[in-house]
Amino acid sequence: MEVDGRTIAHDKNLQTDICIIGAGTAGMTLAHTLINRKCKVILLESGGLKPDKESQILSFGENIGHQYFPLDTARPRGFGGSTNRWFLAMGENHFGARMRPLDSIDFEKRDEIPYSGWPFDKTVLDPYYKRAEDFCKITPSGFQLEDWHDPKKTPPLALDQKTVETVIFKFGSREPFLKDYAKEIIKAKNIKLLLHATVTDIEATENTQKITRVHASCLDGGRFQVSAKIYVLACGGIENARLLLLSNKQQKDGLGNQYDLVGRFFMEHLHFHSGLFIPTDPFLFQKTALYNAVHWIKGVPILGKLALSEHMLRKRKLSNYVMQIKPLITPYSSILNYFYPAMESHGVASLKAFRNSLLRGKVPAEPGKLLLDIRADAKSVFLTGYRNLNKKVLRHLSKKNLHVYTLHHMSEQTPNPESQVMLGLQKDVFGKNRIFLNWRFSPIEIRSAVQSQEIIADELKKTGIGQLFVTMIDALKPHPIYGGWHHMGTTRMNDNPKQGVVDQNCLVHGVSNLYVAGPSVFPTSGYANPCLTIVAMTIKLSEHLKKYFGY
Amino acid sequence: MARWAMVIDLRKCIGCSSCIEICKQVNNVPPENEWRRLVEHTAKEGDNVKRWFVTMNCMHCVNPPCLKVCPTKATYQTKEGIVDIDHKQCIGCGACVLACPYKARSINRRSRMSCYERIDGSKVEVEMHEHIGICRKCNFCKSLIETGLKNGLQPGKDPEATPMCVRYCISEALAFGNIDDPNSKISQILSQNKIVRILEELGTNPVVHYIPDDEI
Repeated sequence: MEVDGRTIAHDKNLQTDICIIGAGTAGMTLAHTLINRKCKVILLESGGLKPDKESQILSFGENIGHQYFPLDTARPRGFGGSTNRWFLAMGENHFGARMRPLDSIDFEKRDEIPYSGWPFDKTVLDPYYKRAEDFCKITPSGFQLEDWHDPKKTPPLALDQKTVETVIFKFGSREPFLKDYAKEIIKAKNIKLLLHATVTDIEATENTQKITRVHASCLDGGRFQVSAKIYVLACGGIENARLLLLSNKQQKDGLGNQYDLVGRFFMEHLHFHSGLFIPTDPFLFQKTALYNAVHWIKGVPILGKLALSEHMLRKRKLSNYVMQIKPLITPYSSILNYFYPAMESHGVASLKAFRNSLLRGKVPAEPGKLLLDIRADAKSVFLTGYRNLNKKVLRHLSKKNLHVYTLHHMSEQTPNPESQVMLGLQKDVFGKNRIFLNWRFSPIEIRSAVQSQEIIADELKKTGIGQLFVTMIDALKPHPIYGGWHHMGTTRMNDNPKQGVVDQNCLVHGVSNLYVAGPSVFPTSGYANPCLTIVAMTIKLSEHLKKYFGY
Repeated sequence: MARWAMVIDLRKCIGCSSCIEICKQVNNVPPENEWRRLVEHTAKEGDNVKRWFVTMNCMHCVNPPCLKVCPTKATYQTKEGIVDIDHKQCIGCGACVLACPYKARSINRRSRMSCYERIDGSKVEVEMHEHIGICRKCNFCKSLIETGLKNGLQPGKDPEATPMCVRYCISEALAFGNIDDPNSKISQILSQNKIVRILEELGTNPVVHYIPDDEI
């Protein structure tokens, strides 16, 4: 049943068995698994059936870290949450999100990656991944390359699998969530969907061991409370942390924050475009159909990408990384910089300074010194002149178009306690502190991304497939790095309360009836898009509630 | 005769960029080019924050300045008012880019090719290399409208015949339809709301209408 929260009597206290806060990917998945189970469920959603501007402003916040999307546009508040923004084209006018489970290595504690390691290995989550694939309608299940390529039409590149492997990404449509599951949740007799109800506070007992109720407010001034036996926080990676930090009446620093961990370890997947791959065979486009664009195999839209093997990740101590090669037809003149890169040297800089002064009609300040610099670095000066001349000549003479590949990279962000969601000084209309984000990443990711590209470049060269130009420099961040709207890690999972906010069942440490669902519990992120892992983890949580509470 | 137009409700737009991302993908727009763009503004007064998002595409002006300056007549206007480019005629001179006051046009410096049709055994239709060096812009997903009309669908009402940005706007801020039909949804929206059009004073007579957010 769907109810507008604004119609509920002021200060009314609603009773239920399970209260789910947030109706996004995790909240909807959990609610759907609870349909017709022996429990009453209240599903609280801050927005309406569709995202609206009034609710969206509640997500407004500031970011003082690496440049990021405006926070109020990064996550729709409305029934379906982030599934509303699954807009990757899958062909035939379907849109969805990339889906892939995390790799086994992502669950391991890796010495080279601080704070890495999940409380369980991938085999624990594997059965839930299978169910998640079914839930996201991307079956037949499995991501083995053998099952998802056609040796004749979509063969993988012949690379050494011990070094570089082809990985399969599936694409799950948003339709099941926004149409089928949304309708089924609204129709379910044991579920009450309360819209336009923003949770502003989670109230606990004095010793904070148990949650007693949550306070919900509406934008029209209405407010009510929900008391439940179990509470599940499913508002996404930023709002989960914010709500725990805001609930500070009983625990000064926020619920579950006794060790100052809530909001820390904010992670995103680093997305960036960099470099170029020029194939030896000009007709390689026809042979890389597996990688070129989303295509349908066995009724599932899929795409192949290049990743480093686990063996290589361990050997070179790298964070996880994947590369998409995108075909591009481009004029020869537009890629001349790759063949004749500009040189920065002392002699060239002096020559430029000398020339610029003369062009302005002035004698350089220290002409002798500049001329000496030019003479001392004559080799670089001549080389630059040669390259520039070549570029100019070819730009005018060559009219041909080249078949090349641009590279789209996705890299794991390593956990970093300084990358943090905090409470800002500004307050929203409910008088609650707005988000203050400090997205930070460390040199490990950049080093890893550069080395991963170099390894793939070596492999492509060795096998004679082509030449990959790596344009990233280790010490510099590529321009620009952006996220994928994946907010992870802010209520990380660890069985030790000093190292994690929730345990392996997603129960907040020290609180007996508050669970967290969604990507905020991920201790590490891998490179895979988080939606499939969110759904798998939520199904696992649902099974836990069934096992321990009989729901 | 239909006359196609668009309404963008600024009271509803949440700046999510879904329309832009979807447009880029379905029209194979290179990363450097954009057929739709988002202008955003923040007004802060203490804790009070107001956000304002305007998405812009080709305004499909009734008096398009781009049409007048095109030396090869590559830019043309359909009877239904859609301003489009015949890519075989375009020489990429850029005169229309300069003439458009809405920055709705750009020259394709490079292009991508989509290959998945080849896997399914059918012909590769999206070979975009012939579009390198010429001007491209929003055409209200003209092919969808034409195919829809042939199949008896009503653009603006039937999703299959409606421009993709309108069809997939998650906050339902965009509407499309025939403004010559007084019973169409868009005509009703236009008659019931205060409407503004961008740079109307230039006499371009754009058919993309905006419902302003009065709170800003």
